[in-house]
Amino acid sequence: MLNPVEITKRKQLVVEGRDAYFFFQALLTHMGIDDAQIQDFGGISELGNFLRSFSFMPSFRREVQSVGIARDAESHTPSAFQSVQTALGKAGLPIPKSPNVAAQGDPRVSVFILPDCSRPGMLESLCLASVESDNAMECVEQFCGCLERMSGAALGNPAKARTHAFLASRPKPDLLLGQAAQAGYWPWDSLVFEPLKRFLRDL
Amino acid sequence: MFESLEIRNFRCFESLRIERLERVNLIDGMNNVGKTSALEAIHLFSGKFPVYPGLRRGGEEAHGPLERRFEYERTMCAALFHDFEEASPIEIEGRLRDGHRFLAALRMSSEDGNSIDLPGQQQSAVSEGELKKRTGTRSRLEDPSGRRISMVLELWETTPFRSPDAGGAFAVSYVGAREKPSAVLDAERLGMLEVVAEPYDLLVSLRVIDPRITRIRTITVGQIPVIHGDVGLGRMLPLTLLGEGLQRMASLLLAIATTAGGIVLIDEIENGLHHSVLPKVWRAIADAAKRFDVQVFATTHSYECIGAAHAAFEAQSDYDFRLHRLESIKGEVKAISYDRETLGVAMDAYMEVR
Repeated sequence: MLNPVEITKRKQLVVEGRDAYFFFQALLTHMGIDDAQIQDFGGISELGNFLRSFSFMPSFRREVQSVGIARDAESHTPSAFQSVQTALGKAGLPIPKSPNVAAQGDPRVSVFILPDCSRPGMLESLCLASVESDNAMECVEQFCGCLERMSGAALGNPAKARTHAFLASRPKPDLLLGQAAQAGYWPWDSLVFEPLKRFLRDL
Repeated sequence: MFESLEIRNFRCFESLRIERLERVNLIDGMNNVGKTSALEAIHLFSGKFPVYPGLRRGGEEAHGPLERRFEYERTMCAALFHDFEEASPIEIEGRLRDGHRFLAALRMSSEDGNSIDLPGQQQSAVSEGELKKRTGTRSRLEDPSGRRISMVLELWETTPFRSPDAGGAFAVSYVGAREKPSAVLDAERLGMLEVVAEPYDLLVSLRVIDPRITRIRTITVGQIPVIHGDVGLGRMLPLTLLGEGLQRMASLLLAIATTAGGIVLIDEIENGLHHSVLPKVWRAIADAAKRFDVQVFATTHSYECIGAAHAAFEAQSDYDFRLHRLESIKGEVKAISYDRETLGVAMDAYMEVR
């Protein structure tokens, strides 16, 4: 389990993994938001213990005014949201009733289920949606389709596979999703990022 | 045992509610958040008066002319009230799991009147389940010019009564943070156990601190009874000379063993005890608290102490321990209670960080 790092800011954004950490770091910088600190809770199975440990930190109740949690929907958004609610409850934190609607309390708590709080998917899905109109995506679709025809089976994780294929077309082809965000490969002005930006502005 | 407490208008607490109490409760928090004040408030259930300055360490009494002492005492009494709000009583309410309630109320009373009933309450005609006054105690200090301080401590309880004694008071023992334990008090407590042939083996627990100790006896020296220990030096020595840890351990356990059915308050429980013995100290406290049906409230500054307590109770058949953290949030002190699972995760994380 990853441990929370020392609290330095009153707004805390809790995200799933290093890719998400660097992604959100880049997005917050782009948005000019410098009063939020990012915490990486590791894998989704660790969220409950992470939140317990986080809420136990001596400075947590005193310093933190707002917590935002972002996790992937995977195959079912309601289940993903429910699992976050359960984790919040066990940590004794306020529990929002809906994604992207803050629960008031000390601290205020809000949850964003990627890609957009309604469809199944993940952070990769959101990033891919932002480059849907990029010329490279036609090649990415053809490539992935070819792989599936050749193997006779569906790709293990289509969103991740497409993301890696898309990034392979960039000037630096070996970057991961989060690094790609830092390199400016995701178009922040894309409308698909608006719900997420709203979530971050409302932290 | 109390399941919850609410402290109102006392020192730094406008209203502090501590819930999900267990048999052993550890209170932590930053300096000056009110940990010791919480213990002082609970002490009101003893019905003993005055509460202050007897409890406070360094509770030095003012010396000098009575006029100066009066002002000192006046200020100390006023300081008991939150924001010096003397017009409202100080109250601590304890609730059992089944909803039965106890209330201790401390107030400045009128100089010549009797103790004042709580608003809306009458001495008679109280329905079952409503609060009824059990006892009231008044304390006065008067200076030569006729000025008076008058404080009244009242104990209330819902009917039908269940409190341990006829006056509605609880047996309460207090073990302070820094003052040297009273050798006489410890010896008296040991004597109380010996008189009733209580088979509680204090020696087993003292060996946690010093494995050399083979026996303890109360020996009168200069007309003063003092517990002595034998650590193989050819003669028995007072526990006070055998180290702070040994004396502290004896004081803690003797307080629990002689407060059966009551409450023991321990300030800065880890003082004088090496961190390596804390798990065993907590096991001894857990065993004694259960054996003598005592509810313990202790304070700490130490993460090691919290971790040791958690580990000790994890090893017991019943995890009857709770950590309560006092936090100042937006200018108000609140209590946040942490359960077994949260403590387990947090302590693992803390040990990794260390």
